[in-house]
Amino acid sequence: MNKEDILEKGAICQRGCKTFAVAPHIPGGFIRVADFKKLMDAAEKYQAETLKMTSGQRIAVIGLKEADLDAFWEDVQMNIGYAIGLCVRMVKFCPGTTYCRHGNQDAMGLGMRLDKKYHGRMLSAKFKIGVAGCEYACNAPLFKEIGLTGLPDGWKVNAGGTCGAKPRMGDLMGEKLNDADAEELVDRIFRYYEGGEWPPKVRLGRIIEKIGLDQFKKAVGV
Amino acid sequence: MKKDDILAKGAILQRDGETYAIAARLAAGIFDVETGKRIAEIAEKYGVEMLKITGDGRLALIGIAQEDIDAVYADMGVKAQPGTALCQQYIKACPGSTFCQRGQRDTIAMAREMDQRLYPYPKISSKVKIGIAGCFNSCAEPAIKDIGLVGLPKGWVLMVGGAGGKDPMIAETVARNLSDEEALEAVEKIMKYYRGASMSPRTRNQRLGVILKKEGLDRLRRIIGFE
Repeated sequence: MNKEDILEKGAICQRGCKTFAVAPHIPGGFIRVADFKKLMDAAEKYQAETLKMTSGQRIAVIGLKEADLDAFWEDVQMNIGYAIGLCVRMVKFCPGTTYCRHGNQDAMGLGMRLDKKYHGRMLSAKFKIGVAGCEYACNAPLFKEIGLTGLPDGWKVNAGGTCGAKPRMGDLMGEKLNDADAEELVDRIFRYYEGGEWPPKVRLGRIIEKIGLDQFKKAVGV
Repeated sequence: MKKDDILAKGAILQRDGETYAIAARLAAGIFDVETGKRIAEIAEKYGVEMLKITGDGRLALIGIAQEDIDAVYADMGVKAQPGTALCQQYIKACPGSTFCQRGQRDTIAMAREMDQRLYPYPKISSKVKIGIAGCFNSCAEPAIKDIGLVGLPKGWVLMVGGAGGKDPMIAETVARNLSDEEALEAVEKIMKYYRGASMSPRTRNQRLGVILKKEGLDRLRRIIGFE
């Protein structure tokens, strides 16, 4: 986070630091046309310079003035999207069995539940969650701190993936899990990380490397 | 007859077995308010209720009737083209030096130029995913794209052969310190190589990373002139 970002307003200081970008929370990137229109109206009213769809399945509204931030949020009536900071940045999910023909598991249902529970939760480093409904793995769950892949025989859960400067594939934590068991495993992994005393900005994958995969698995009850 | 994807028009059949999803053509995921409003109007006109911002920064319109596909594209001012479907080919870019404080290269200009020159790339039998990031934090996930660029102060880092899906692979770096033009030319050569491999029975329907594991990276390095 840069000094000038305004985290509580979800505002990211843009280059040159004269204006801000906000990224309203759009769980899974699914937005009804009526809500999309409302967002466009607010972007117009507050003279946004441009809009950008992001990797976190959000729409960044770029070029807002600091003085307009409160009014913008009041107008759109949407929650803040945690695009920055040390927290659960996003729960990415695919159309799953709701829309996609390939979907084996209900990625939207589980994704929404995890989003409600975890999006924005403060942690010692950034943390990404991905839920894919089939083996094609649209949102690359193996490269998220926690990734779920829906297979015909249930959910596969991986942990410790990252896709930044030092990419790492997540380790297998569980297979053939039903919705409830998969969610419970996610909870255990999350609680372990949240409850630990880690140095700031050290992501889950590095922690697993440091303490060893077996030790990590034991700690999360796998 | 049972319906299927209509890839020639970039339309993906939805789970209902009736309607289709298509992607709006918005290079680098960037659009202005006017374009956004127009897309919303088009969506309403054709009975689309749900939009999805995809993980690769595209806007999908979900629930289009088969007979409306051409009209939706026409209203958006683009042609229906093969290769443009969701899940097929895309160029994903982060905000880069235009917007982001960390950006060291102009990713959006690069994505637009690449979009103009290359997108959609014909006759490649597998997916083509390109990620352009303006710094090593890698918002656009270049390490898990078929072709990835990372902008650093001295130029672009070029990586190839990544994949994030069914058979995940981390891309290998093949060149560093490239100028914009050098990077574009290299990407163009890689695409030609990919297309060539796409037509060979030995490597048909395979992602670039799988092809490179069979054929070796050195051959590609020679082809793009970075030995």
